[in-house]
Amino acid sequence: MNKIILVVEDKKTEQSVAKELVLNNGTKVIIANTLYKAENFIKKFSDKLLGIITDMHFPIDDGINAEGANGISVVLTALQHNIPCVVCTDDVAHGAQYIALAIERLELLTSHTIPISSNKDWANALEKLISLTENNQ
Amino acid sequence: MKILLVDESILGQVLTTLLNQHTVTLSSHEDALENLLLEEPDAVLICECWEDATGKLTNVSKTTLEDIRNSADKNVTVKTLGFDGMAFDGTCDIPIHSFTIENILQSLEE
Repeated sequence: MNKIILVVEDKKTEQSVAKELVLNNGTKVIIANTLYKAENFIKKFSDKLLGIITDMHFPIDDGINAEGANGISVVLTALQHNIPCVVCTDDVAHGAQYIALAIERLELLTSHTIPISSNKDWANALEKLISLTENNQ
Repeated sequence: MKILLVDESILGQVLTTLLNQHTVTLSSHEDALENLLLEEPDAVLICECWEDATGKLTNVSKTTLEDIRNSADKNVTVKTLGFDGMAFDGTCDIPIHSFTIENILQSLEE
């Protein structure tokens, strides 16, 4: 039961890619498309989550179009629950290279490792998450 | 067949009894995702995906269906049962006005 990975991503095509990779890895998957949903899932399944892979830019809730860097909130919530978390984003496409800097600061402040897969490479992100969970054991 | 039946009305209890040849787990909408992950069913039947008596859309069902479809492996059949034309997305896999246990099982085995 505790081999579940939460994927936070709002785009259906990206969700499909991530879902297939996670299932093929022999892990179960939960998908959240908003910050609201992601935080609810983290609270509800915190003791069962192997880890989290989160996009960086997605809506706060359904019907809210604004795409803030809500992945930062997901990372913080994951850290609060001591759940390994990897960021999977395309920060160049978003013109948001500041994300790497923000994550680096978070790592310094919390002493946690928060890997980034910066080319929207889900396979790479999953690999980093598995590696992170193995190192945490 | 291992079936996860998502319903919070008397219908769910009736269906659980009628489907007694199979292993049925009756679940609330709130616990549906957790039960999918825990029970690993062969099929999921989600009921009550229609508007309530006041005409209010049952977003709970929509959310449940979306979460279940997102998490279910491709070999898990996910079907909805409700009033055709009144479901949130306009149709149900198994319209309640014509459903029979045979129809439900046939649909879940597809």
